[in-house]
Amino acid sequence: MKNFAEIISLMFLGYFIIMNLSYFAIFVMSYTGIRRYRKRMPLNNYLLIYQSRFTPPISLIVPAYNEEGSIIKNVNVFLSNFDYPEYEVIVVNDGSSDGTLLKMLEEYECEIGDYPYKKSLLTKPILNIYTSRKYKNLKIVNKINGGKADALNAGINVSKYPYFGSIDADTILERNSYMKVILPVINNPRRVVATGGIIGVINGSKIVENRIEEINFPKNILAKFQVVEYMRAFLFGRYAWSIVNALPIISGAFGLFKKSAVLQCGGYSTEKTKFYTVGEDMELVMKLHKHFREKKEKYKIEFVPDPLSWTEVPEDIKTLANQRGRWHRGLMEVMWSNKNMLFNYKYGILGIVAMPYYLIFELAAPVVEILGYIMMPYFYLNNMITVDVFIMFLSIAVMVGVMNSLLAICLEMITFRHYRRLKEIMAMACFAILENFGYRHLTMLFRIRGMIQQIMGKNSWGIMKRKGF
Amino acid sequence: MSVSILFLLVTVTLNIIIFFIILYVHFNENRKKKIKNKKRKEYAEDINECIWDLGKCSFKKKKIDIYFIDSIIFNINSYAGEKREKIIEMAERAGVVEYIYQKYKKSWFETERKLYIYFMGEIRSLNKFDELLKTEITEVVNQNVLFEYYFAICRIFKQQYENINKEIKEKFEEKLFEIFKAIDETDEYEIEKFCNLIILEGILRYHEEESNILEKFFLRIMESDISLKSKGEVIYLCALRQVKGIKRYISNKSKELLKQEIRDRAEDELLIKLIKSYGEFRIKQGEYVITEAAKDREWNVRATAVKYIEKIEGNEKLFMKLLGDENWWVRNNTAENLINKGKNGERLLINALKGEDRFARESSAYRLSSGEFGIKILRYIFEGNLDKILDIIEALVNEGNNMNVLDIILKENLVSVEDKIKVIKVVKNTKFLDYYENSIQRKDYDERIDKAAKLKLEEIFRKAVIE
Repeated sequence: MKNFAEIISLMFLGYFIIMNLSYFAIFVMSYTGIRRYRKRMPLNNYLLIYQSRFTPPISLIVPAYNEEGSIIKNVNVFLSNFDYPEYEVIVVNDGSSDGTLLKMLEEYECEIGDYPYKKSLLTKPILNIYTSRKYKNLKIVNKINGGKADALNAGINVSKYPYFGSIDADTILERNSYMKVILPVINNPRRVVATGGIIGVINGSKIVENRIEEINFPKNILAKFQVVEYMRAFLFGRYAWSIVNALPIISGAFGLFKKSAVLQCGGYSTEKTKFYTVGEDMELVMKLHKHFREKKEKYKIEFVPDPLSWTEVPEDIKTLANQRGRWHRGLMEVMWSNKNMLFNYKYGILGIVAMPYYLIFELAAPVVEILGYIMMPYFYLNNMITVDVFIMFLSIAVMVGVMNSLLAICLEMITFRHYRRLKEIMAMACFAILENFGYRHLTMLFRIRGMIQQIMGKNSWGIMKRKGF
Repeated sequence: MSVSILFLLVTVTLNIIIFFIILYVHFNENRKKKIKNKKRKEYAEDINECIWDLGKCSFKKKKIDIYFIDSIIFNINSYAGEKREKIIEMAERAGVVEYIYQKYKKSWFETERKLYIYFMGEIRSLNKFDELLKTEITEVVNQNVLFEYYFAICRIFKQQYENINKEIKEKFEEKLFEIFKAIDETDEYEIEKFCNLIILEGILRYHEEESNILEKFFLRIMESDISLKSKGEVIYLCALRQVKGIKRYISNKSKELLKQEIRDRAEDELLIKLIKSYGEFRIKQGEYVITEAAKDREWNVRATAVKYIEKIEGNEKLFMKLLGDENWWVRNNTAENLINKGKNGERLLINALKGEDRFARESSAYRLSSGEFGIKILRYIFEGNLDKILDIIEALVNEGNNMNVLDIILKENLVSVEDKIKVIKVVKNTKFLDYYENSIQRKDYDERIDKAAKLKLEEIFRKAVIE
């Protein structure tokens, strides 16, 4: 029994060591990449991009479902408070049962347009396309309910420009976010098929008319933990994977895609399979990877390490649990539907490194880590392992975890420095330490719950409670 | 001390170190930012400082950084004459050109390459220009960088254009054509299109006085085996140029080629652009193209063309046909154009109202009648439902609404004489007086209507007296 415990504990130690080593490798990659990006930033002449008629025009697709209360305010931001030379906004009303559509039709003085569009992607029927008399670049698509992915596909069909951006109606964008995100496309128009940016936490910040006036550290404790978490996820993970062209996800809240490439891949997945798509954003990016790698065409999915959009994170346990569960379900289904890419050399770094990483250190992590946190103390208390092994486990699991979070803060400090007050920096550091004593484990449990729900066949989005701005 | 405790201590120490690094970064970044801002300000504002720094670079082999190049460009742009030449000379001596060249070769980023090319243009150095350009065209083909190349070439030449000998001029033209052709051969449509625009816009912007270059360039492109798409861009720009009337530079031969290319067009976009450029600048030569385009097989071409048809005379049949077109946009644009033409246009719309084409009737009704009431009335006219018409007219009169529709009903033979009399009886506002006055002037009224109108007039008059 003792031998068994020792073997198990060694396995846990090994798991945590490899996980933290990979985190560290990712940090080094991100650090060098972000430094390079920052050095080049002064050269990016956004005024030139804004004035140039060579900047590719874009279509912004905003899916809306039962958002009567906030839709006008949110769409107004995309229409008037936004810097981009040429763009159109397509709001897709996905069969809302409240007054979302009527409100928009009234506010924007819409009329039914005989607008021709190509049904490149199969979607639920589009009932009408409205054009606004007030804003020439606004189109409102009214369709039968089919889910977010279906709404986005309908938006792609109606869009007229070569690049499209998917935005959640409640996302707050920086004025020039799309000028920043189009830069990789301008630099390499042939290869870049999708780009995305960092999403920041908005809780506690001063918002005026859906614009960020002042970035503040959140007041809510859960949100404070999530600030550190988001930093780690976006600054660390995504950019590093983007450097080796193995970025597996561009957040649905903010992204830019080459329309022709997405059409080649068949758009967003809408099929209701065993694993119903709640992670349509990740699914699409994986489809793009798969498509181009199978065709052996050169392509690039880039990540801009710049906070371009902001979102409100959950401030209560229930919403957080729902969100994390949903994310994990999304990850599970994407891994499942792309299982043939795993450990497959045909897909390059994505198949050999990135996907196994996501499988072992993201998908399986909640189960392994929670088991580790339960079994290791049990083994120690029953004298099945030595104190050395136990301390080693704690050092790796907790202290190296703290180190990763501190490194993420350090990276943020060197690069963007959104939180400039000493008080905020100290608070961030404290929460980076504290998250390893309860918060992290809590989110692990939520993720396990999500896994169970997925296996049991529950596939709803759950309720996302937001305080609003 | 066991290994585990040692490891624990190491991790704790590392965490503490990272924490202090964070604090250090916080304080240091603030300090650095202040210094950087100050330095950049100095660089950009003081020419002597710039020359001094260039001198330091040249003598002490100090490292040149990107901010520094930025400031040199700023200073070159800001000063003229001796000061400017001095900076350029110092920059060359300090090895800035070589630095830029080396940087360019390594850089895969458009913004960086653009800055370097811009700088080359500023200091008027053709040093290694050919080599870089060749790489850009054959390997990278980035439209924005080529744009910068073109302007750099133009800047270099424009300064001494008058003094440039024939040989150099020819070489320049040759280079332009080479770039154009090289871009044309790439398979990426968008880049091709953009680059074509770049080259031609460059010519338009920098060499207005040299129309011969354009003429030659145009003919050469037209006669070459360059794709129709690329030629399309040239045609568009030439048309634009022509209609703006800046300068005559297209010969008859070019015009012939232009017409031919339009006929054989590979895509509609070109023709649409041409129609727009003719239409927006109201150019006589374009009238034929526009009317022909209004008969085109593609709806988007027809929809664009009909917006710009100037004369109604002689085009009545065409307008009527377009009013009943199968496409909504064509019908809508036709009706809109006609309504903007005033009485003659209205007359045509009314004729369409009386016609049998449902599409034409609908689009005319929509334009002729402003507002919801108007549309309803016209619909009831077609249905022959007089009661509803009278109800609506009454409502309109009571609300003092727009009465365009009433005019149409009374003036035109859309309803019978009996019905017109009934309509008159309902009307009570001044709009009626206008109508009555007009009908007397026209002398084309029916006696029975006249009688009813007189009675109505008396009624209104009496009411006014009582009030």
